[in-house]
Amino acid sequence: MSRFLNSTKGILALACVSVLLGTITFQRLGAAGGAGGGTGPVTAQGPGEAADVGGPGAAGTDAGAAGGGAAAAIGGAAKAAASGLECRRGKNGGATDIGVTGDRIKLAATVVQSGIGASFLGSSPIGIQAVVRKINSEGGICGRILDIKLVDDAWDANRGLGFIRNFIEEGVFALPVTPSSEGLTAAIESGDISKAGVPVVGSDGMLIQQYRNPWVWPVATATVSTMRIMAKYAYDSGVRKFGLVYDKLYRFGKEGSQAFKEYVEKLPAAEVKSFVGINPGQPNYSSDVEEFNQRCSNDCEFVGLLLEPGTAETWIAGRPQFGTKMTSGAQTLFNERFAQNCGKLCSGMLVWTGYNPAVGPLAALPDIAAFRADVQSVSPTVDVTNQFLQGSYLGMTVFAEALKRVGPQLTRARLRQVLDSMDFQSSMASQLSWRPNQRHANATAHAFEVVVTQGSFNGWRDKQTGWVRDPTL
Amino acid sequence: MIRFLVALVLSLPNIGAYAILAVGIVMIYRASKVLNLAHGAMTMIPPYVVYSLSKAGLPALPAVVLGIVAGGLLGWGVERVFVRPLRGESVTAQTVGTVAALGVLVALAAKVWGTTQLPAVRVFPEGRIAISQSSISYGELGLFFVMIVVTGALLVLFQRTDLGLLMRGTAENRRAASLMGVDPDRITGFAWILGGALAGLSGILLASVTNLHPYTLSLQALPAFVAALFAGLASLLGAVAGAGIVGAVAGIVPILGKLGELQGGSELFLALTAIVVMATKGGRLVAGDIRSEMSSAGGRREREHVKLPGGRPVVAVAVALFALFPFMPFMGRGGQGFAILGSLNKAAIFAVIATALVLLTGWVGQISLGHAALVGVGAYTTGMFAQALHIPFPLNLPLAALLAAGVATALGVVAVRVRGLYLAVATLIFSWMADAFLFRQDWLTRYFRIDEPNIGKPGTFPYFDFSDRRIFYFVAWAVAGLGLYAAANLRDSKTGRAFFAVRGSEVAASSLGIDVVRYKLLAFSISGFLAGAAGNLIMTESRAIVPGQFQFNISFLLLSIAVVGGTSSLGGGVAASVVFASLDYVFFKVRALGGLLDITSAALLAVVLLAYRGGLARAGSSIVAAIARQAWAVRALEGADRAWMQVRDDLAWLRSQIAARTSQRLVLAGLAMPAGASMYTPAVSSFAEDDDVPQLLAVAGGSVDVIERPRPLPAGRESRAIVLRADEVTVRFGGLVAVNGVTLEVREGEIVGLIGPNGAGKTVTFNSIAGIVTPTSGRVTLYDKDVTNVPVHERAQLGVARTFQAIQLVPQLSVFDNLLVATHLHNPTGFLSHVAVTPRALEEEHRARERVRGVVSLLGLKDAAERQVADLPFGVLRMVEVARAMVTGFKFIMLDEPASGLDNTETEKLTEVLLQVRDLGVTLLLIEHDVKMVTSVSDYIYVLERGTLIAEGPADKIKRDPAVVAAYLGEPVEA
Repeated sequence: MSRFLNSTKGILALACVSVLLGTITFQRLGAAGGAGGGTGPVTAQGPGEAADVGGPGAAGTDAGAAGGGAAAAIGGAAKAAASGLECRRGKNGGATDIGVTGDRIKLAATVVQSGIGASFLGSSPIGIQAVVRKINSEGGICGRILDIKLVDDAWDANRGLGFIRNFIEEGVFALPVTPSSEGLTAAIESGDISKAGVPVVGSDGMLIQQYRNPWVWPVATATVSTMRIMAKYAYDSGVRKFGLVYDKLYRFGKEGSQAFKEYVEKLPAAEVKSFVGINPGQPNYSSDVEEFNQRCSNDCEFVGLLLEPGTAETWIAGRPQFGTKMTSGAQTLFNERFAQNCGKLCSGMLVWTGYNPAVGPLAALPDIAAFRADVQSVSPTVDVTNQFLQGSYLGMTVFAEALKRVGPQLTRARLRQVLDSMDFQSSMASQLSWRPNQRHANATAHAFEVVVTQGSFNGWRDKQTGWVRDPTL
Repeated sequence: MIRFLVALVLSLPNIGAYAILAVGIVMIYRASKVLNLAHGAMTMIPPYVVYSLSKAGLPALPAVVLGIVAGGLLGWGVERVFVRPLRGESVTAQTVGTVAALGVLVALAAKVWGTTQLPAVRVFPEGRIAISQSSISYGELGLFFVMIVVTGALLVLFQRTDLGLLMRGTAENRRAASLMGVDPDRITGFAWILGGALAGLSGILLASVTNLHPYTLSLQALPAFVAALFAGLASLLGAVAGAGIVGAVAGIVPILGKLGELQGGSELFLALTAIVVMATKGGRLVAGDIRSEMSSAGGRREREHVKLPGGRPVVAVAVALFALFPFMPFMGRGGQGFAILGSLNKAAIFAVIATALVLLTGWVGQISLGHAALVGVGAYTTGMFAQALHIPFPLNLPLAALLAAGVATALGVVAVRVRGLYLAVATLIFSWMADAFLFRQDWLTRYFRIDEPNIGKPGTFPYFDFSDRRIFYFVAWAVAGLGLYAAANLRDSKTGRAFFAVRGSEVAASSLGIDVVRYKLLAFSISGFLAGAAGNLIMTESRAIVPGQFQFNISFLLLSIAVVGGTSSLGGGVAASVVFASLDYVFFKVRALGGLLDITSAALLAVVLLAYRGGLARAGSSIVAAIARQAWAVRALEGADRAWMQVRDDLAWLRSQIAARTSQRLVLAGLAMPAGASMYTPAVSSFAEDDDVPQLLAVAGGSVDVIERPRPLPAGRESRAIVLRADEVTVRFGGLVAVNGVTLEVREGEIVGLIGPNGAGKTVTFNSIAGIVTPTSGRVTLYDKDVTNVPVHERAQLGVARTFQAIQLVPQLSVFDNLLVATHLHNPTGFLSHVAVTPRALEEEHRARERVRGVVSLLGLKDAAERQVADLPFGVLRMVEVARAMVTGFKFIMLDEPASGLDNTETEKLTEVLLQVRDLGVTLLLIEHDVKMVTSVSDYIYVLERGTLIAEGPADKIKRDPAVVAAYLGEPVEA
């Protein structure tokens, strides 16, 4: 029996080694024969598209080749005009690039509908669907309807990365919004996005690496920008002594707190008196509050909160010192549930956001009204003040607008070219402007005050700060 | 100082919260010996119930009461649905059952109540008490005082009431409780109800000072597990004290300057505290009890080797799958095939991790809830090697794996002092610390990605183009295959048998010369190596990882894969890996599952766990066996079998040629003995190789073939060499003197009996000689060597074997494999040679098997040899223990009440066997209750009473000794 088993295992071992050596040999033979090892992204089909699609980074080269792609796109645009393409079905040039046919544009995004991330990202798909529904009801863009596949990855980085790779392999044209930030982050960092040259348009993750990739065009104000904006506004209002409590577990907390501290320390006569990081999810923060208050010694003119809503509620319940002049929360706290739960403790607190929220008089602005109507047509009960919902709607709108500007000769390279010089005006946010080396299209934020009457939250009041711009951009 | 005091006072709410949770965990553990990882979920749901009732208009007080009742019902439900059905399985399976409960309950709560923060019902009035620069709310103080009241009430319940006594008794011994007319299921169920209610109470109080969130609330149980660990999962007061430590650390660390600012500082501090606590634990060896395993298994046990009719169907299926293997990457077209490949690649990585856990948990019995951290170490260090040192794949694979192995070994050094579920909690703390501290440190996490050139450079060797998923498929499965190959080789070798022996009984393993600590550490190292390799594959495949990817709760999933596979089965682990990895493909394709990923995953775990309680390995073997019975399958198998036999014979011939040549070279080089020379002691090798030795017993057949009376022992005891001498040995346990200045000798070739009434100190004396108990004073020498303070396994190496009063065989192994364990000391090959199946390892294996066959033949155990020991009657098991001692080839065997549990016929057979063994030149020392048996077999007898030697001499003298008759025998024995 033993010999028998050993023989079986011997074969198994032999097979494993053979597979390894065989794989290497297979690759080398493949390389010698010019076949290449990878399946690679599918190339576009149809006549006349080789110059647009075969050459640019979209076919699998890195970002460095993208310039060539853009140049090729210009040639492609000229060719399109020369060939008399029109912005309607049957005349739009058909399959102009990966994921594009004469009647549809294949798109995909990972979303979060399960797990812990669903509490704040769960309604993002509604924003995407609202725009898609609206565009498609108008006949699509240049005769092509938007065919988007939204897949839940439960905010799991590994699964999300796998799904994004699947999308790329399936030949999607672009990844609009992609609210599931963990998987998207992994895909950006792993180089998959750049390598495939797949555009990620309108993302809302707010982490800094989204603003550094040539194939990603975020619409949200980065957390680092919000923190500097908060500090600048406070400083301009006469504050010199700062305090900040931040989430030290998640990356947004680390990035934002560091940006805040570095900025304040460069300001003349300003100092960060109390700078305390806390772990989210604790039952109480009495000791951390004690430490924070000790450092502030009732002398912090400004106190900032860079926390998730639940953590912030528990923190505030421990009665930390607020700023003697101003207390501000980052955009994570622009959350109606947080304001309701916090109640009178948060009265007067400023909360910053990079969007015009659907509250008060702002709700009547044309784009905000359209946003409300569109998302409520998909889900009548959706919370329209949710920043991620608004971000996904705005991101998808930007993407659709860019597609329109590209016109019938739709290629990734042309889309990139358009986005890299795009200015987008909307009453949902300040003007968004992207440039080839400037991804912080949204570098502004404005503040809203928590209004409490008779001990209960009674809405947000526009503090009339105007759009404050990130002083470093 | 004042700041410390203030921080301590401010910690009271945390202490209160953790204490109530920890008390609940300990209580459930004490009552049912189950580590309830669903405690967090049981904590989280009741406050939601209170919230809903309150929203429906119910006043706060009745809502809270009903919430606590709901907690109790939840506890009852979890026990009935997820734990009780698995009671016949291992504790690991039951633990994973609670993981399934955790997943299902949290996912359900998220669906029902959503994942947005909700305001909880406030139990205590609003208001705060200012303390220094901070304050404590009435609710938080109330939580602390409720904890004190609840703990006090529970202590009274456990210590002062009949119900408490019943609960404690049932937890200690379900069978005994059952024999006394107590329904153990009812008592256990009650404990779960109480535990659930307690969890509910703590959840309601916790939520009332924070808010409602399904994930955050359920995570509050984690620090409570740490507190429970400090209590040894045993003491309610200890749990409160543990919660005091955990809560105080969480409160004080933030004010400790740099440490306070450090990410994960509290977790690091707690992990270090846990190390200190574990270091103070005894590290005592633990005996197994085959009877309790058999009874608890209720007829179902884990089986390591799923044996099918002839084994051939398995081979056929394996060959079929193997034939499909190269074509799998080409299944499905375009994106679909790519997505399938993604899942298969993930399955390969899972398979490597499952192998790691099967080895550590399934074979060695070391339950790990910390493997996610080891995988993370492998992933991050891969990034480090690739990015910082430009060492590409696959060269960085062994390096990352070795680093993970190092970390695992360090974990093992700490954890080796604890075991079972206590160990599980210890590894959970490690995982928690790694997630909160290690994987948040910039010096490590800066290597969270690998730039493409650092994966490998095209044109260099070796280079893999992983942009093609098919390439990764082949590579990952090759790595998984090599891992499986190595593990399978280990399983069937000396090393694997040592692993199983350690799991079966540490004492027995040690008595056979197996260094228990060394083998545990070896298992940790190998398991860590495999986990690190899996981490390397993850990093190589994804090229980037994000913080939180290796959170402690991922360890639950990883252990679940191993358990669903069958815990100890390599093939089952692979099957479970494929099942769990295929979920990604399902989620990708079936968009209707959006929003249901958590609940689907948890439900799958629950269904597979409960439907296939022996794991997929057993289910798979049943299916294969059923298929193999079909006519078409039989024909196909016969054809495949013929072809296979030919291949097998060819390979066997090839191997024998290689082995022979290698052996020849070794002999020429003077490194090995020539063929035919035996390395075993003459005594045993003579009967092992002597065809003329009569069959003593046909045990399995139950008849005595031939019994020859042994030759009488030559006179002149003093002239024979002393094998063992205990000199003035005294053993004290606290104020109790168990053995008082006992001196005894065992001389070569004789049978010495040690008798005495109950409580006389026989067992303690025996254990002090065996090395399990260290004498308070006195000296023990073995073959003239002072062994007073020598560990058990080192005594064994000097040449002493033993049997046990409570059978200490490995229930998962066959009789033959159990006997093979006893050849451990005679096999000089190391684990690397077992991994590689070197010719020398094969040769030694062959010798060991020959030796065992000799003893099996001698004791008439042939019919039982291939049967699992758990299937055999008690009398046979006794004989197997004797056989195992004989296989060691040692000249001195100690027998601990060998006749215990035997009927008269069996005792008589045993007596004859012992005499025959002595006649072969083996020296025997036995302690025994059966005076008749002892006096009939012993050449010399020592009599103990109340720890003191009262008589010694030949049997005839002892029988007539008035002191013995009066103190022990009660009446004269018939001459």
